[in-house]
Amino acid sequence: MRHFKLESLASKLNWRFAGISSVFALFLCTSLLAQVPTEYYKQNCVSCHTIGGGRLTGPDLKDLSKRQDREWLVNWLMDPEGILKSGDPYAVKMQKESRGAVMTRSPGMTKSLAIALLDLIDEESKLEKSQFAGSQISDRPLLQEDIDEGLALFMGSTKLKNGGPSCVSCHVVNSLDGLSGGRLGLNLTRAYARLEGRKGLSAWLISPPSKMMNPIYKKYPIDEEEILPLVAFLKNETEKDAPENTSAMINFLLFGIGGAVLLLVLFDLIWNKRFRAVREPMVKGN
Amino acid sequence: MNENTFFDYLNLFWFTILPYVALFTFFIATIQRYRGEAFTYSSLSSQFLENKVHFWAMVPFHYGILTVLFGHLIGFLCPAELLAWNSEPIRLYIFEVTGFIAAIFTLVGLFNIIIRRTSNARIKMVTTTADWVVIAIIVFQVITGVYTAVFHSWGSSWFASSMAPYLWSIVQFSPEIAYVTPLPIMVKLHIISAFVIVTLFPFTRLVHVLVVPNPYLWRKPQVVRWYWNRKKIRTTSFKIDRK
Amino acid sequence: MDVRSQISMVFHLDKCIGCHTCSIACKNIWTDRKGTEYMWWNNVETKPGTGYPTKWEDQEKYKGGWEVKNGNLKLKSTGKARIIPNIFHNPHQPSLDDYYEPWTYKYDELFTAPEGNDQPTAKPISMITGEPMDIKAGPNWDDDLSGSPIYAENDPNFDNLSEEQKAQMFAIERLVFFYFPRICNHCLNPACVASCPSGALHKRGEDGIVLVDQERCRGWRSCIPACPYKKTYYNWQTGKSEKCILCFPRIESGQAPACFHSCVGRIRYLGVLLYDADMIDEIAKLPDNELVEAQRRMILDPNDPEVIRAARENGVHDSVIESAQKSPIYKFVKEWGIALPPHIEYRTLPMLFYVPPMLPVMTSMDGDAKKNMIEGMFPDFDKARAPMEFLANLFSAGNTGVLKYTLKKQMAIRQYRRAVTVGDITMEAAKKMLLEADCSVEAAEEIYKLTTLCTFDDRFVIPPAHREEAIEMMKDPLEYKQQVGFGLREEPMRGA
Ligand code: HEM
Ligand code: SF4
Ligand code: SF4
Repeated sequence: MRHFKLESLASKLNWRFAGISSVFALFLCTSLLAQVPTEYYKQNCVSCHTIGGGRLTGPDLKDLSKRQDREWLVNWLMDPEGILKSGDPYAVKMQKESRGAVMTRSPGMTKSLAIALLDLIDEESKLEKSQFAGSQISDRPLLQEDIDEGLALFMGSTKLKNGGPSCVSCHVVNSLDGLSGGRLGLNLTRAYARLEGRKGLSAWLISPPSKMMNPIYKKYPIDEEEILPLVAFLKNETEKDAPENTSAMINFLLFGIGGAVLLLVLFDLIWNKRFRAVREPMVKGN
Repeated sequence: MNENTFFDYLNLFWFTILPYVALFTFFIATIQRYRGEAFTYSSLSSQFLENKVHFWAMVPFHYGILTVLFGHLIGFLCPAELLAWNSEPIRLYIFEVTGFIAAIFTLVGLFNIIIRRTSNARIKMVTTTADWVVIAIIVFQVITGVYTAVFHSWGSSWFASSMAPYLWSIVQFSPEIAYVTPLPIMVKLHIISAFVIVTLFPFTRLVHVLVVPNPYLWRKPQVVRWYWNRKKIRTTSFKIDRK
Repeated sequence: MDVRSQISMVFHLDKCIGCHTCSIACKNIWTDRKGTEYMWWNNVETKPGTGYPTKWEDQEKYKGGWEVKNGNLKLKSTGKARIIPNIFHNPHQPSLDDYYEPWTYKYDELFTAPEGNDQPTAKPISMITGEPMDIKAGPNWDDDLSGSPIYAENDPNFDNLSEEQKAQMFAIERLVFFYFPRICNHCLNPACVASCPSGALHKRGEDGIVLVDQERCRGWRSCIPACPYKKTYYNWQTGKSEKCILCFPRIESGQAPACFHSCVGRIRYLGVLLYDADMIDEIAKLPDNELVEAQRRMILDPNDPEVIRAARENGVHDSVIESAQKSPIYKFVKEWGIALPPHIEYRTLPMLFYVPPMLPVMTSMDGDAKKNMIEGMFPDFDKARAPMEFLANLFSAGNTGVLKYTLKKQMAIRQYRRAVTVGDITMEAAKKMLLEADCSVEAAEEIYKLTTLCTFDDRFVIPPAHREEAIEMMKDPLEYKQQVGFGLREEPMRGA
C-alpha cells in the first residue's frame, strides 16, 4: 500500500513548477533605458550619415530642415520602409541616390525621440564643424606597401588599432590559401567593384552599415589610417580576381575527421586494459 | 502589424525573453530541486547493464562536448585574449580544428548513445522519454553547431566580437540584441536551442553536470560521520568506577 | 591514541553448512526491490570456486583495494585526480554479466497452457528485460563444486600454487571444499569510502558501520571497482550504489542482523572492538606477511584502564565499553588468535574475521597407524587435502604461520575434548597438545563452549546504539517497505 505524502508532493511541485515563476523575470528586461539623443545618434546613425561631412551610404544631414518639413521627417524616422513602400516620391529619389540601400527603423524609435533627434541635427547643422562631420580619407595614390599592410590587417597579424576583430574572422578573399578565411560574411574578392571603388568602399568601412558589422565596429571603429591599406588590398583582390579556393572547406573537414579518427585510436590504446568481461571469457576459454 | 515589427517581436522573444526565462528557470529550479529532491541528482549511469559500446559512447561524447563548451567559455570570459590568439592565422586554424575535432567526437558519441539506447534490450529498460528529449535537443545543438563551424567560419573569432558582447549584455540586464539579429538562421537556431537546453536542464538528467565532484580532490580519503558529539563523556553505567 | 568502537564479526567456517539461509534472510528484507534483484549483500560461496561476481578476487582485472606506491597508499582503481578522466566510463567496473542476469519464471503459463500431452513448463524470464532468457549464471552457480573444471580451477587463490599442488587438490578421492559466506567487512580503511567522489559513502563514527548516503550518491560508481570484496553494488534502476548496512536498524534496536539471526549453523558472532584509529595509515602500509598481526595490534584491550580512559574521552559510551569487554570477537581475534581476516593484502583492514576451516580429516589410517602425523601428535599440515598456501592466500595474505597456528589450536582443542568425552586419548597427551598449540585448558574450554554450545546472547553482544543521542532520527523504515530502500523519503525512480 502506498501512503499519500503531502510533504513529498510539495517538494515535487516546488521544483517542477519553479520554472513558471521565472517568467516573471520578464519584467526585469522590459524596462527600456531612457535615451539621450546624442548617444542615440552615435549608436544608430553615424554609420550612414554625417552632418556636414558629405554623403556616406545615406545623405549628409546638414541643414536637413531646409530640405523637408518636420512632420514628414518624423514620419520617416518612425517608419522609413512604410513610406518607401507607399511610393513617396522624395523617399524613392533618396533611395536611388543611395544606390538602393534601404534605411530601416532604428531600434526603440518613438515620436518624442524622433523630435529630439531632429532638434539635435538642427543644432549641429548650425555649428562650424559638427561632432558628427565624419572623417576624411586621403586620396593619395595606393602603393604596394599599402596592399601588404592591408593584407596584414585583413588577416589580423597587424591588430586593428581600436580593438575590432580582423576581417578574416568572417570574410574570405579568393587569393587566400590554407584553410582560407571566414564564411560568416560575404566573399570580399569583388567588394571593391561592388561598392563602386575607393570612395564608396572607404565610406562603407568608416562606419559599416552591415547589420552584422555595425554594432561591433560602432564600438571599435576601424581607424582612419587603416582604411586606406584595406582599400588598397581589396582593390588589388578585385583586380587579381583569383578563382575561388574551393579546397579550403574540404581541407577543414578532412583535418577534423582525420584528427578525430586518430584521437579515437589513441583513446582505445590509452584505455586498452579497460574492463570488458571476466565470466564469459572464462567459461568460453575452458 | 507590419512585417518588420513582427520580426522585431520575434527577435525580442528569442533573444531577450527566452534567455531570461532560461536563466531564471535554471537557477530557481536547480536549487529547489537540490534542496527538495537531492535523491534525483545522479548521473543515472547505465554502464552496469552494458559496458562495451558504453565506452565508445560516453568517452567521445563527454570529451568532445566538454572541450567544445570550454571553447565557448573562453570566448565568453576572455574574448580579447581569444582574438589576440587568433591574430596569427595558424593559431586560428589550430583553435578551429581542435574545436571541430571535439565536435566530431561529440557526434560519434551521440551516434553510439543512440545505437546503444535503441539496440540493447537492457538499456531500453532504463531509457525514458526524458532521455530522448535530452538526446534530441543535444543532437540538434551539435548539428547546428557543426554547420556553423563549417559554413559560417571562423566562429572562434566572431564569437568573441559578436556573441560575447551579446551574452554579457544579457548578464548585465541590458540586452543588446543588435549583435545577434543579423546572424544567419543556423547560428540563430544554435543560440536559441542553447537557451532551450538551459531551460530544460533542471528538469532532466543533465543536472548531473552540476554535481561533478570537486571537494573530493581535496578532502581526506576517509569520511567518518558522527551522529553524536564526540567529546561528550557518556556514562549511564554504575559498574565502571570513576575516580 | 584515537580510540573508536567498531561492530565486528566472526564467521566460524567449519560450522557453515552452506544452506544459504543467511542470503535469503537478507534478500527478503533489503534487496527485493527493482534494480536490486541481482544483489546479494550476503552471499555464500564454495571454495575453491570463482565466487560472485565471477573471480572477484582477481584484482588484476577488478582493481579493488589499495596498493603501496612509493610509500603511499593508493587505490588500485580511481582515487583522487584519476577519477576525472575516468568518470564517464569507469574502466574497472564489472557489468551485470559478471554477476549474473536475475530471472524469474512465467508461472502463469502453468495455468494458462492449453491441454496437451506435455507437462506445462514455466519459462525463465529475465528480471531486467522481462524477455525469455537462457540461464547462464547465478549467484552460487558453482555451489558444491559444480562445474569445477571451469569454476573451481579458476579460483584466483590458486595463482601461486604449483601445478602439483593444484593437481593434488582436484584428485577425485581427495576432493575437498568448504563454504565461504561473505558480507561487507565494514573495513577500518574502506576503499569504497575513499573512492567515493561525492562523499556519500561514509563510516559511522559510533559503530563503524559503512553506509551509502542515498541522497548524496551521484552514481559516479567508483566504489564498485574500489571495494576489493565487490560488496558495493550498483542499483541500475535508481542510479545509486547500495551495500550491506549490517542491518543497522536491527542493531540499533538490539537485534542481530538478519543473516546472523537466521544462521542455521550458528557460525556467526558479533560484538564490539575498540581500536586505535591513529594507527590505520601506518599499518595499512606494512608488507603483506605482517598485516594479520599488525591489525591485531590496532585492536585494543577493553579492560586496560588507559584504553578505557581514552575511549571515554572520545565519547565512547560506558555501556559500549562494557559491551566491548564481553565481546566474543575480541576473544576470537585477539585473545585466542584463531580468527583471521579475509584477503588482508587488499589493505582495507576488514573487520569480519573467519575461523578457518580445518577441512575434513587431515590424517588417514594406514592399518592401525595414523599416517601423516608429526611427532605422533598433530597431523602434517603440509599434507593436508587443501594446500596450506591455498588457505593462506585467502585468510592471511600468504602467511602460513598464522594460519597453521589457528588450525593447530583448533586441532588441539578437539583432541582435548576427545580426551574428556571419549577417553581414547590420554589427558596428558591432550594437555601436551594444548601446550604445543599455545592454549590453556581454560581457554580450550571457553573456545569449545563458544563454538558448540553458544546461545544468542553468547554470540551476539550488541552494544546499545544510543540513538537518543543522535542528531537525526531516521523515520520508521517499515512505513516505507516495498516503496523505497531504507530510510529514504522519496520514491526511487529513473527518468529525469
Ligand atoms: C562536467 C562533467 C561531466 C561529467 C563528470 C559527466 C558524467 C556523466 C556520467 C558518469 C554519465 C553516465 C554515463 C553512463 O551511462 O554510465 C553521463 C551521462 C550523460 N551526460 Fe554527462 N557528464 C558531464 C558533462 C556533461 C555535459 C556538459 C553534457 C551535455 C550538455 C552531458 C550530457 C550527458 C548525457 C546526455 C548523458 C546520458 C547519455 C545517455 O543517454 O546514455 N554531460 N555523464
Ligand atoms: S568490504 Fe568493501 S564495501 Fe565493505 S567496507 Fe570494505 S571496502 Fe567498503
Ligand atoms: S545461514 Fe549460516 S550456515 Fe547457512 S550458509 Fe549462511 S552462514 Fe552458512
